[in-house]
Amino acid sequence: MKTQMKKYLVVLGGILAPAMVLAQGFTPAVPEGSYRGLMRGLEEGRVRMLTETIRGCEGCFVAVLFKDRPAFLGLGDAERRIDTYKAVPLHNQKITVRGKNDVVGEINTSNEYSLTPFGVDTDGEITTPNANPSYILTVQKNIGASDVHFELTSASSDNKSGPQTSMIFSGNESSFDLDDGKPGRYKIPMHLRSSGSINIITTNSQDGSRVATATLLGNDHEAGGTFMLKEKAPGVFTFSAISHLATGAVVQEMPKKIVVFMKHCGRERAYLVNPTNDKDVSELKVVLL
Amino acid sequence: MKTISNFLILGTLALVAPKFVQAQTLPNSSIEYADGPSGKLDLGEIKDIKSYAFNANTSIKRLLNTVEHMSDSEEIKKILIRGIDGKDGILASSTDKRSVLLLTNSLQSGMTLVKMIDLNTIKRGIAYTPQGTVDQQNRIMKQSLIFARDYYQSDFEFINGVLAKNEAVTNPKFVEFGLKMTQFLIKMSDGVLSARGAYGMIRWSLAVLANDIKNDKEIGIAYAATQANLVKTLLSRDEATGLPNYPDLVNGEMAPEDVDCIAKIRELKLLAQQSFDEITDATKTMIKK
Repeated sequence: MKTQMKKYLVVLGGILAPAMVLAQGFTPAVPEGSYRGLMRGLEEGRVRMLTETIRGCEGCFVAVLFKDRPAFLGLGDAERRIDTYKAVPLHNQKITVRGKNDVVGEINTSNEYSLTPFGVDTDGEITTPNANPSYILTVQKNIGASDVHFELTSASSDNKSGPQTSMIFSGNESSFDLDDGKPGRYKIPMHLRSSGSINIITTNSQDGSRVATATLLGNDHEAGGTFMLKEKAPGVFTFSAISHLATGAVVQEMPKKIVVFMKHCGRERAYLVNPTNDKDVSELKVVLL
Repeated sequence: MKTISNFLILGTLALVAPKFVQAQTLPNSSIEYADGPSGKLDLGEIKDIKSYAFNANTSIKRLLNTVEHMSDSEEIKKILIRGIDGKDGILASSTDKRSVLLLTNSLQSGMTLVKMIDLNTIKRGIAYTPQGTVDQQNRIMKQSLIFARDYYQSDFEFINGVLAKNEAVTNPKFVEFGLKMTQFLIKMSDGVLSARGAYGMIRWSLAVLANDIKNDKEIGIAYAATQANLVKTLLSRDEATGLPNYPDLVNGEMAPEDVDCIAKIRELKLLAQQSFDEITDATKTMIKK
């Protein structure tokens, strides 16, 4: 297993647009996609944000944010900042806003989002350990899926997950893509004395979640073993060790890692992230057999 | 620190509150739906409740042991629903009189929320169901069982106290329970990706708090202002927004669109924090007197 300790990688989430907007053909404020931007300040450098819609929660997305090679990961959901307004689509991204006193005006589709990092709680479920957001995403321009300009700034809350610096995305596409982790058996080629396999299975779960089992042979840094992966959000899995006892195999309640699958230049990657330490990220090269 | 403070306040609350409470009546509301036991309990009924509580506690422990190391989410859900709410489940033999037990109140709250999430996601089909929904439902049921197990001791002491005094009493500590339960449910809602599901949980848990204050015949009146504000605010917001309230949410009426829910979740969280602060302040006032 290759352990990367370079820069940052964050998984966040947000709201794309209300279902009613999508249904009528309006361009969502932040479309599902893969964006490349720049990080400002002391940690200047290239940064990427990948977004994927959360099924059943219209307008919400899970997003991965990372700098250079993945080395920092946070998981988040996001809530659209529409304050006390109710948005009604009118035409071409213009909406009518109705305030407390029925003051009606016309503004662009709500352009601010709060991003709150996910974590894993003691029950082994993905949740938001701190409900306060760590970032605010502001859309500056949205001409189409390939030309979306937005900025990420610190939410100035007590949630300091991720680099607390500004990031600017100016419509450039990233070569990374979120990958759902297609069902099948993946081989982890021998690399830095680490190898093994991941077997992703589609289950008949009522919510369509997938599970996977993984066998890792380990390396100098981490012990190997067998693991259970359970999908908790689109393409986001928890990663729990399996103990083999006289009474049978049992899954440890507390997952130590979260796994996200990504594709870069046609090659699959699985990233194992410690939710309590956003710089503890391991990269696994995986090959679908 | 806040948790310790809450514990101290809740502990003191039970000791000093009865002396403080004057003979007043709680404001009426149209939000009544989870009334506590009606009328007084005679000794025969108390003995029956004691026996029921003992057996229920055993069943709770057995159920938790059964699912502790299971990994199949669907199987866990089936076992938990059958064990709690099935025809031979813990709640099946719970009569109106047995609702005096905080143990049964805890389980009923958990099951109501599981049904609410079912109706707003799973029953609508896979397109409306975020990944991980079943695991979140299992988490709610497991935590409700743990909550119920913890409250068994309190229930047992209450029943024994009643038997020792040889008098009929109907005063479970509903305010204390309601406060803890509401805080617990709001925390649970942070992990629910469906905004509809999370909104339903928070809306319902605040109404439960209002009801628990009303049901606490010993000290509830000390928190009458908070109860009245909760009822007034929840109902006026439902009316203004056309949002369904309980029991509509539980009986199949859909929660509003996600984008509406997200805005309302923020408002309700503010209302919750305000109510918690008021209860804390009122309790401190009682302690001083």
